[in-house]
Amino acid sequence: MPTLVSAEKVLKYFPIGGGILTSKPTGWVRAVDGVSLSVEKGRTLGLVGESGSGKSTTGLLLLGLLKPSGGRIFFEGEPLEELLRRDPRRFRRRAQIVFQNPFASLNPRMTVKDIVGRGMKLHGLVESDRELDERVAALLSEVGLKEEHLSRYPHEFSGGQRQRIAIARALALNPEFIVLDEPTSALDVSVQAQILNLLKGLQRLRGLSYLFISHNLAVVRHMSHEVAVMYLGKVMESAPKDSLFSDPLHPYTQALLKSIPKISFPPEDIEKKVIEGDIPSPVNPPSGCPFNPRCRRAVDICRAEMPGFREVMPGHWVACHLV
Amino acid sequence: MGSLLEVKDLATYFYTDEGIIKALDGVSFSIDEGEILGLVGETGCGKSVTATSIMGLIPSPPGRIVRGSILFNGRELLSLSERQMRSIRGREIAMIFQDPASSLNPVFRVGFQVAEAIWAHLKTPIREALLKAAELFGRVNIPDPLAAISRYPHQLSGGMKQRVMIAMALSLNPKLLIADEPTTALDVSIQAQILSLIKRLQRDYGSSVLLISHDLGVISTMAHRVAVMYSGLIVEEGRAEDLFQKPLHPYTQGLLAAIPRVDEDKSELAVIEGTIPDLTNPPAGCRFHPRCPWVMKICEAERPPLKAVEPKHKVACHAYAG
Repeated sequence: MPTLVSAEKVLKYFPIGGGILTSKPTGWVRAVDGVSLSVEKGRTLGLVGESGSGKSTTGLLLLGLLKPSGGRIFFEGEPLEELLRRDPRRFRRRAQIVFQNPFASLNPRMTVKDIVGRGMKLHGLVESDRELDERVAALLSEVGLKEEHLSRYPHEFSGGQRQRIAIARALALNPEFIVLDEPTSALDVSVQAQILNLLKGLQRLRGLSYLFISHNLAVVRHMSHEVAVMYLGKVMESAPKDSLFSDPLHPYTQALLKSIPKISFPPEDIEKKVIEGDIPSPVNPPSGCPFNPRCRRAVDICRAEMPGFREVMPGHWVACHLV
Repeated sequence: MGSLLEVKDLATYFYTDEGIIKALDGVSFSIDEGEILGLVGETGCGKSVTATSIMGLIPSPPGRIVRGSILFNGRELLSLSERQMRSIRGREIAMIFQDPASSLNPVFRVGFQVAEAIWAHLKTPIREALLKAAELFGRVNIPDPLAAISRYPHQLSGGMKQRVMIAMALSLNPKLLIADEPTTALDVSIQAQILSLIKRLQRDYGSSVLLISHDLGVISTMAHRVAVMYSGLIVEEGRAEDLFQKPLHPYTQGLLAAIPRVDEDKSELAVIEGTIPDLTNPPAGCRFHPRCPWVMKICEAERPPLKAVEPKHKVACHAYAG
């Protein structure tokens, strides 16, 4: 499968303190700390992790919306930096994003037609207002909305419908790559199912590549072909979906999968499935493997050295000294 | 075991400019002593209004409990004065909320906030109450409890703040704990810690718990009995094992089919068509009928009563009439 987007040891550090007047930062938040991953054409890479693990920052980096502090990002084999320097507008057409909260990501003063059609107008893809109407109406019907919604405002829609509008906006420029950042986390389960099915259908029809970011492992399992698990700015494990869920290798992935409350009978004993401790702060991460303070199997080397990210089975990568 | 809480035909309306929102419209359920009842449903179905109605915390105006009864330990809560209610709230019925960050006062040390609750009900001297708070912190697994009591909320993580809330809720050894989405704002690994804590404490203290969640996995792991709410009504109720293994109501079945599972692959998720009804103008008859795959003539006209169709398994659906 050809690769569309890839990251090689990408870093993103945000300064703490230091402003216009005091220029020296007092520390760094290591939001993304050496992430390597790749999104294949027409497929979905699920990026899963708890809060502060660097999922969303990774998404923004891959879109060129944040500048990495180190490492390299490639889009269809070309360095992203190069693409953005040469023709930033052209790149914008190729890569888009859908955010978590459709109540915040849509401008309440704009009509659906303006929200969805704005990109096409700015990029000069339509010649007349009538053409714009037609193109937007076609997009709306593709995401399950109606032509009569064109002149309505976001507040007239439910959460699920708003997320459909956000998806239509992302599709408007005919992109190859879409970052879906927790696209259903603000929605109820019955609506979530509708949106997930829609996203899958669009991928099939348009051959889209997705980076699907979520804290919800079940949703990631449903949506992804490959999955990468992040913890404190690092990818701990990445593998084809089946391999990751049936044979997780990293102790963090194993513990995370266990600690999700499942629908089962007899009910599981949640008290036996707990990962102890809190998620450490990315300002002051533990030395060695970031998971070592919570890892039941941690040994001396885990506290001293960050394990390398190695391919232990075909396509199955893991960063753990013990695997 | 007898019922600790018995809610009968409870209806809570909100009188707004847009019309009367019938948030609860005839809800009945009971919780036995030492039992965890899971209340599950989607946004706006009335889960939280049920909790605030029991606590006597419905903001009025615009809200009003228009009919029904809430029997707690044999006493009718709806006929109590605010003063009487205040002595029950916190002491006999305690509540923890979804967002621990907004439930704690940011300008007071967390130990003091717990101690204050103890002092307010028992008039325990504040020094003693602080020591009691430290002891409770230990019991909810807050590391270094004596140091933790003098921290401010912003110095604690979300999981730790929720532990403080649980310590506060348990400080007076309540008979009923209402937990409204207690782990929804927390990460998965922290969620498991808090759930296991609630379960352990419930066992140790023998309290009853009303656990409200939209997450069926959480409910399945925690609850002995489950009630499913839809649009201000309970549509199904039964023992957890019966309800999850053999859901009866088409809405419950639809919900279970619509959830992606972490322990199994589904190629396509089933979809419940349509959206949640508007509570100012809910559909006549069964409120689920516009979205129901089994809809019949009678569903549009008559609201189905919640009745047992199998031992200890109730459903409100005309399809089970005969």
